[in-house]
Amino acid sequence: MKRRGLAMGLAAVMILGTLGGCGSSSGEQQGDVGAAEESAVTESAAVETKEESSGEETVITLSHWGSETDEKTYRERADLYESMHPGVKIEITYIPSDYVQKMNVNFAGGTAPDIVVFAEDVHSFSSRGLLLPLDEYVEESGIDVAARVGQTAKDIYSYDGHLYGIADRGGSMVLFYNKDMFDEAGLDYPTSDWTWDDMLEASKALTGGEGEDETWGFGSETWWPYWMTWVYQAGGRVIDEEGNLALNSPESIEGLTFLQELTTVHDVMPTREEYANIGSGANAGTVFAQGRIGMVPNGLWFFSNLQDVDFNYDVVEMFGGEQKVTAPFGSAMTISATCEHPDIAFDVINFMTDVEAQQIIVKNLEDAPANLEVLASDEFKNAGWTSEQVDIDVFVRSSEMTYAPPIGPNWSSWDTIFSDEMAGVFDGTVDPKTAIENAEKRILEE
Amino acid sequence: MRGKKRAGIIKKETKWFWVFISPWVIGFCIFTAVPMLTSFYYSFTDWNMFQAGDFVGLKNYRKLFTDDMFLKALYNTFYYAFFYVILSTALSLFTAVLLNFPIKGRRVFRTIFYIPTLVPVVVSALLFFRVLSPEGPVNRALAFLGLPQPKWFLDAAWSKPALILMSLWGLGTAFILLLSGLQGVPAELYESARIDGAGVWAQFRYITLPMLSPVVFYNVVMGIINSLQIFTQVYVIGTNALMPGGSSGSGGGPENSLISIVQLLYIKGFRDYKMGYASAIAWVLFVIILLLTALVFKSSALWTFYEEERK
Repeated sequence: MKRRGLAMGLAAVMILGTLGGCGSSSGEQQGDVGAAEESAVTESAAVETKEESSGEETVITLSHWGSETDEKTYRERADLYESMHPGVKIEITYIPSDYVQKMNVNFAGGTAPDIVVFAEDVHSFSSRGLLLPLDEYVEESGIDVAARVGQTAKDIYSYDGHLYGIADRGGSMVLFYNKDMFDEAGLDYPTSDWTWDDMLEASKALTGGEGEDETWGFGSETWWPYWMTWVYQAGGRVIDEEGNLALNSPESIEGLTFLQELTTVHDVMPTREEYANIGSGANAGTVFAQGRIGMVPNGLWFFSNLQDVDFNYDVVEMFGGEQKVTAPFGSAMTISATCEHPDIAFDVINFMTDVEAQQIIVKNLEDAPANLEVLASDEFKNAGWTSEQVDIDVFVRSSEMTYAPPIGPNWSSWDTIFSDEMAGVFDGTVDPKTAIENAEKRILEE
Repeated sequence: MRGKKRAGIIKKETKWFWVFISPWVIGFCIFTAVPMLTSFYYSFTDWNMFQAGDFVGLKNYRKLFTDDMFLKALYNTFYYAFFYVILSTALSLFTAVLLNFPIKGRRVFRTIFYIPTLVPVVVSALLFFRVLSPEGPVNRALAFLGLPQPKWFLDAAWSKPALILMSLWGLGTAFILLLSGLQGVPAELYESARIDGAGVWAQFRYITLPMLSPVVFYNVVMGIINSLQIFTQVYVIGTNALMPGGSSGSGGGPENSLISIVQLLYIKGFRDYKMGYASAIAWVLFVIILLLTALVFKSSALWTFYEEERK
């Protein structure tokens, strides 16, 4: 009997051995994994002893996406909070890609972080009851969210009358332009009161050349702010006050027609085909950095792509149509509904969106802070975003002219459908009216 | 006495059989059978990953066949699978036979043909996007020859041929299997055929092809199963390469001319959170693959030859 048990045990060991063998068939990594496990063991041991000594420690988890600068900045802000609140430890998970899909899996698996950074997808989660309404916490703490981050930013992160996130990073779309190209063409630089026609006339003068020397006046990407801004500037809108689709209007069509004619009629903007000829990753931003596009709308982060360019550039508010509006950028901090310490989590996001922690965003040249006081500060203006002499104040003024995009529970599928249908507008293969009708039809069928 | 002992051995062996097979049986149940049954249930609900879905009966399935995007995905996938399976079978057979001739440097050529399969699909997709760009190397060669230059991935009419061309680059696995099959054909068969006066074509037609038919059969079945599930290439081309700095939409290229069934499933399930609908797509695809594979298996009796069968 005893021997039989031994045999069974051995067999089990063998089986586990095979499984282990399969698992680590990548071979060369085995050593690393072993080492990592070891250090993890020592680390967790260290944590345990620390916990014992400091009594009770609350751990708050936070997830975000982005770049390494983002990672560094969130960590520094968390460190600052920890240093002022002994007993609270903030564990940050940085997810470089497929963030929203991974959050879905985390929420579905019951392992959602306490604090989740979200952008346009926020209401896909809030509408499914996955996020904590912050209203009573805001009231208790007495902070004025609209004063801190602006009414538009407050509205964007509200759904069904409840606030679900406090804006953390902000900013808005501005116009970057290549000063050298304007000088060469003998043109005046763009100003804040530019209209569509001013922009078109300048674009025509900046376009020319052949082959490697070909230049264009204006460049656009296909991301939603790049077509939606034309709709809102023309006086159109995507949804009405009741949340019904209202894209199909003469104004929207006018705006998108102007955008389309930049390629089909005036030929002052590169097409998808022309980008493909330049290179696999070519887009308005990279071709602007090559000095071959005169003007591109973009956000504050774009400075980091322009560090090594050999031309002079500046920024200015977006030109205007019927309306002088621009697209808002940014993200908010939200709390998951399953968070075990909502009071502490709220205290963390309150701290993170307040002046002191937001200044770190500026210090690290990460992004535009959502906090209006920090945005308007001299620290923001003199942070050294670029070695060029640029008018940083443009970002402050632009943040006051943002429209609220139609971020709702179905944002993700709307964005998919809009991108599908607007591709034809950018390519010049589908007229704007048809594209809008197709998009609305698909949205209503969803 | 003896019988009893034998039964004991069998019993013991059976026990050990279950012990040794259990990791795979358990693995299959947990990671394949349970998820499959669960998705079958979900395909009748409107589950969105979080809130328990309501039972909606056949609604998802009915909606599938009126959904233009699904019909488009179905068409694209079949178009791709049909041409890919036929062309890859013919081409891999052709190159395998060619490189089985004792020519100089054939080891080098064999290596060259196999190497593309070692390149990750993502890399080869990005590479081909560049090679087939409107002013890329392929089109420059076509221009040199005075031939028309299609826009490949940027043109709804040419994107699928471009995708097939790209996939054909990586037929090394089928090729290697055929090559080893060829080396298993006994030389005396060719010898006696030559004595009987058979030419090269007759030798190929009456010896090589029948002897290789089981390998061809295997390649065809795997080709059908894999090509109906095409995803990575479409995802890379549609979402990364084609949309300079933008949101990729459904990620199906120009006019969604590349969107495949699995790509649509991914978009519906993981981006639009329509898990019930995505499950229905998965089951329709499963049934299609099952039926097609069964058909190929049934028909194989007519065109495959196994030595053991005819003694």
